[in-house]
Parts: sequence; C-alpha cells; structure tokens
Amino acid sequence: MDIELPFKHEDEKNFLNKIHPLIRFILPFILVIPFLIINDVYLVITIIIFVIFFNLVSRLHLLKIFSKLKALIPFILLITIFVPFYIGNTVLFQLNLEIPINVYVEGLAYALTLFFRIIGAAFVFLTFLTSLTYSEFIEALTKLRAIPSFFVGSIIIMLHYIPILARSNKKVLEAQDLRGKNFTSYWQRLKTHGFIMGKNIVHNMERSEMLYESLKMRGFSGKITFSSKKVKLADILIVMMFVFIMISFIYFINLEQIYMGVLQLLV
Amino acid sequence: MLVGLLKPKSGTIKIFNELLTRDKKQLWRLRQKIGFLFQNPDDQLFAPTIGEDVGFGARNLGLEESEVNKRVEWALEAVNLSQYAKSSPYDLSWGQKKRAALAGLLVMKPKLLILDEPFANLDFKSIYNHLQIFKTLKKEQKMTILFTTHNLFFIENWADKMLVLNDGTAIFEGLPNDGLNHPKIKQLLGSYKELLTLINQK
Repeated sequence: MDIELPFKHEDEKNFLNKIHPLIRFILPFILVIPFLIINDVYLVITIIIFVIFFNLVSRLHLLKIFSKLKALIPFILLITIFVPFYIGNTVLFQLNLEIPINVYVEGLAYALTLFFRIIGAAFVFLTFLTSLTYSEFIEALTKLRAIPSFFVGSIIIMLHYIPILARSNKKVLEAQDLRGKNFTSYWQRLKTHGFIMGKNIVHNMERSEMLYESLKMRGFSGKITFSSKKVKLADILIVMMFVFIMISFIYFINLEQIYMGVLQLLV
Repeated sequence: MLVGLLKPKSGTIKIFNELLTRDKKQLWRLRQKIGFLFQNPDDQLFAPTIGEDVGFGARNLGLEESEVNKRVEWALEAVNLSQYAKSSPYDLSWGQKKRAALAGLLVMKPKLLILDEPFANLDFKSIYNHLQIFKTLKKEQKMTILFTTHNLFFIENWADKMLVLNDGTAIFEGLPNDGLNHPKIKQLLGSYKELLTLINQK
C-alpha cells in the first residue's frame, strides 16, 4: 500500500494489545491537553521524552512516526515563523531590509514553545495511533459514546477508501506518465492534474454510493456494530497512572530546576 | 431494482409473492432473503478485518453474539477463507476479496443470491473455486442464484434459464440453448464460433 493509515498491522501484536483500545485512544489526550493549556516548554520536552521512552518500551516504529511527523513540519513552521516579528517588546535584533523589521525575544520564545507544543501534540497522537490496529481504533471510537454513531460510520467508510483511492490515483498518474505527461508544458500538466482530480471526485462519489448501497443491503441503519471487548479494572488503573504522572509533572516536580541542573552538569 | 436500490420508471415488481412497495420494513424483510454481490468487492468490504465485515449483516439481524460468531465461522468456511478472519481486506487478493464479500452475504442466510458479474477479472483457478462454492450453496443451502454476465460460456454451461436485456428491455427469456442460437441474440452478443474463426485467421 502506498499511502498507509497510521495504524499497526492487524497481525502485529504485543503487550499493548492487552490495554483496551479505548484507553489507548484516551491516553494522548491526557498527555497533550495540559501542555496545550499550560505555557511551559519544559513540560512539553518532558512529555516528548516520556513518549519516546514509551515508544521504545512498546517497540513501536519510532522512525515511521518521525517520517510521518516530518510531513507536518512545513505547516507548523508556517504557523510559527512570523510570531517573533510581531509579539514582544524586547528587540533581539533588527533585520535591515527596506523597512526595518524587529525580531522580539518574547516572540521568539513564544514561537519556539508553540512549535514544540504542536509538534509534541502531533507526536503523542501519532504514537498512540500507531499503537492501535485499524479495528482497535474503530472499537475505541464506537466505545466512546461522545461521538455519534453516524459520525463513526462515516469515519470508517472514509478511512476504508483512503488507501484504495490513493492507489487508484497513483495508477492514473502512472498511466499519464507513460503517455508522456512530464514532457509537456507546465500548464498542460496542471490541466492533466485537474482532469485527474475531477475524475477522482466523480469516481469517489460513485464508489461511496455503491458502498452505502451494499451496507443498506446488509441492514445498515446509520449505526455500525462490531464485536467489542470490555474495559477492565487494569485499564482504568493505567489511565489513573497517566493522570498521576501528569499531575506530578505539573505540580510536584520542578522540571525547570532539573533541566537547568542537567545543563549545568553538561556544560 | 429487485432489492429496492433503484426505483422502476414504470411497472411493478413482484418478488417472493410480494409486491415491492419500497416500504422500509418490507425492504429490510426482503433484503434478509436476498444477497446482492457487487462486481467490485471493494464496494462491499469496509470493516478493518474480514471477520468483522462478514459479521456485519448478522449483527444487523439482531442475532446473539454467539450465533453471529457461529455464522461467521460457517460462512468463512463455506468460501474457504477461515484462516483470514483476522486479516485486513487490503491483504487479500481480488479473488479472495470476492469470496469474503460473498461470505458477508451468506451469514444472513439468503434464499436468493444475486451476483453481478461474479467471474469478472478472475483467473481459471479462482473461477473454479467460485463455481464450486456456488454449486455447493445451490445444492446444500437450496439457494437460488441469479447472475449477470457478458460471458457466453457461463450462460451456455451453467445457467438453467436466460434473460437477455438490451437498453433496459428484456428481449429474450428462455433456455440458454435457444437463446444463444436465436439470430437476434447472436447478432447482439456475438458467438464463440465467430470469435474462434477470428483467432484462427492467419
């Protein structure tokens, strides 16, 4: 498959499978929400280190996660790169272009924290998503009662089609390549891409209609039911443990002091 | 139209001695008796694993989980895919996907199976496997099989009855032998002999 969904293969089992999928789905929220609310770069770095450790212990594909994360970096940079130019009062230096542009210390610090917060959040979510198989992910969604069942159904159908459509799109592009797509002018290529996109939209609509009809034939009424496991006491204990770790990081452990101490030791 | 997915522009449809009214309850009752196999299995398989997908229809029937599991096991065995219950549909070949989609219908124990081009894009080995399954279902489960095809071979050698549609109109209904020798049908569908003559031309 050329475009893979960020899930584990169904046959790939390890000790994580013993933890209920719903719990593995909730855990990244427990880790991410505090550092999105509290503006503390040390907390972000600590959680990233903690999740890297979790990755290594759980034998998840850290490199695969990083490669997926790489694709997000340009978007995150786009969000953060202009922040130092307009937030803050203390000028760090001035860019002498036709109009002098100030780079502020506070803005730079804020941009760095924002960058780490977004990348950290993406990393945590990707880690826990890759710890789930596709069926576990759906099980988690269906167990989470906050999400309406029709929405879960739509997500399942959407996810089902992503790799199929990516593959068919690739085939169309390859077929175009074989007929010399790359040897024509830029505008002609753009036009070709436009045609492919248009064809894909129509094709996708037809296919989703077919899938909906096939589901209707098998009694689909808006709710998708699969067999599911029960949440055990051990699962709840794991959630409590993560909450405790987070509370400790926020209230009981002085992370700044620890990092400064480590820095002093290194220097 | 038989399963109520399309509305007829004119006329009425009678199936299992019932006039199709498109009432929701009636449609669901009829759909429990009719299994419709789509030509492209990717239009039918949607769940993360084959086992889950096959069990979907049975769960919608409101059966107990133990009965659902029993039926899933039976259906997968009927299509020789027992070992693939935990596999993802993406890991299966085209022929295997087609069989998995068929298992998804069998769990509902339909009386009538409608197959849309069931042998399209299959090699001889897969066609053989599929035919064997259909024959068993017909014999052991007493299922009626209605299939659409452009391949004259299957009409001539497998079908008991033949109905030819052209531009939405039925132009022939009767025995395959009579149909295939009918001059109008021959003109419309072509014939083996013509094909062989063309192939043998040097």
